Amino acid sequence: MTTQFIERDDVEASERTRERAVAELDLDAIYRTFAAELARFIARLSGRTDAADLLHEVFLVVQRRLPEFRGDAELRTWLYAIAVRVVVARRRKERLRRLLWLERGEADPTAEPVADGTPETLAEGRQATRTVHAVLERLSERDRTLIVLFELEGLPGEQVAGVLGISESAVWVGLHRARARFREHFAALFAQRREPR
Amino acid sequence: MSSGHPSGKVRRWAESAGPDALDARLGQLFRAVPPPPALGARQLAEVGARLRSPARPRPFLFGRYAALLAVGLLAGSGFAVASYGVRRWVAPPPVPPRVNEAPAPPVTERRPSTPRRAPPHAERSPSPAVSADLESPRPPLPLRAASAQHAQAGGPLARESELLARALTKLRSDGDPAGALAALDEYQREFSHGTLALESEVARLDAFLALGRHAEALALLDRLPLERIGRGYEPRLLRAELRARENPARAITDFNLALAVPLSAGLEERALYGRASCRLRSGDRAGARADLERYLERHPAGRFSGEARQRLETLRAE
Repeated sequence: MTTQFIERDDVEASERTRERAVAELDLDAIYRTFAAELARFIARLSGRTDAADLLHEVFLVVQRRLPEFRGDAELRTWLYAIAVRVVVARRRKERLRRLLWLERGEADPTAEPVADGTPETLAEGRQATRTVHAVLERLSERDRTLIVLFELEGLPGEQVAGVLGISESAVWVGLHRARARFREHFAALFAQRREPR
Repeated sequence: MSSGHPSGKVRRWAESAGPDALDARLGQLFRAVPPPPALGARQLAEVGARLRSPARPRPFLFGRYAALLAVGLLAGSGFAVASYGVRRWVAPPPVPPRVNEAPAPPVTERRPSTPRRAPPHAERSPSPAVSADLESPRPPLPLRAASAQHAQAGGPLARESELLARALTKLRSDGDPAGALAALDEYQREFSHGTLALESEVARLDAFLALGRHAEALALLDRLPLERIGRGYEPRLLRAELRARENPARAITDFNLALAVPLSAGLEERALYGRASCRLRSGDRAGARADLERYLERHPAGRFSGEARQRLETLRAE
């Protein structure tokens, strides 16, 4: 990898240029480009299929914080980071409400049918989704987020680090632990399901 | 998964067979999970419309919070009964207010250090979806209007138009970018803050590019207000391409911004492939691979598809 010694004037000029560039970011364009993708991610992370409200909440934050975006991180990473914070906060609030008997239980993550596939694959897909979400519900929010970002969304470690605002080493360490816990809970769940009634 | 310290070589469960039966089952499980259903176009449009309308205050959930309040009051009064004894409960006398107590400090809202700006709806550059593919330079729009004006009015604007038109003719019709630069220098000497100054700088940019004077073109792109040039995101892309070899990390910033908005097919090809190249130069092999895969998925017969496939093969073989 080549390195470049950048003169101070270049750094200041690039900062001014970057500020001008960031000012051009258009919420409508960002929404058109990323809304569908973010909605799918939000559905995965929240375990709910009715992601419209959460999507709206995420973009309210985006709208408010767009002037702060400096282009240091990729825009997609920044948007994912906001989505994670909004969804985790909402899940915590819902957990508290359930605890205080103010809300019903969470929505079925497979409420909407998947469009493509044979009846067998559809059924298998629904069952797999339910199982994964049942195990995810037993994890901490951090473990859950790591598993969703890496295993389900397929983001590389560096991007997960950007989304969560941690180092890449911290991602791997956290993921190692999250996977170990997922395996434990999955093994327990699998054993329960196989017990004779 | 290895028992040692985890590294970047962790494979997803969906991509691995797993060393034991449990991991194999997990692999099977994650492979079977389908993508979640997408929000319909109508729902997306509704959310978009809500974003544009002013926020309404959420209704106070009286019923639910009243129940919570009641529970809290009951718990509190029960505690008071227990602590004051069982035989008789007498309400404590009201405590008179302390006359010398200092008032609570007013709650002040912390103002952000920079003033908040509304999303720049009014000032943004033309939507790339509206502009045509802008890979060949076009005459700047104000020049036509200026020509119409100067035909009648004459004066300084007429002189500016004449000089600029001369430069553009040399550049585009005569194939003489050096001659165009000379004409632009003449314009600059006479009209350093002219009405058509921005258009003259854009012509200068085109001349630098035609002459292969990339360092000067890049310096100009760093100075110009890109949102006012009227060429969508192409100037930003161009700046990233010029910068890619010497400073791939900074180039990636411009590629990122360009890819954040809908681009024409031609510009998207350049942006994706350009970013992949920069990521490769920066050592980000995973990012480069992701970009090349996305490029080939979206532009399987694109102009960089051959090189993209070769690079991807090399990356996959590593």
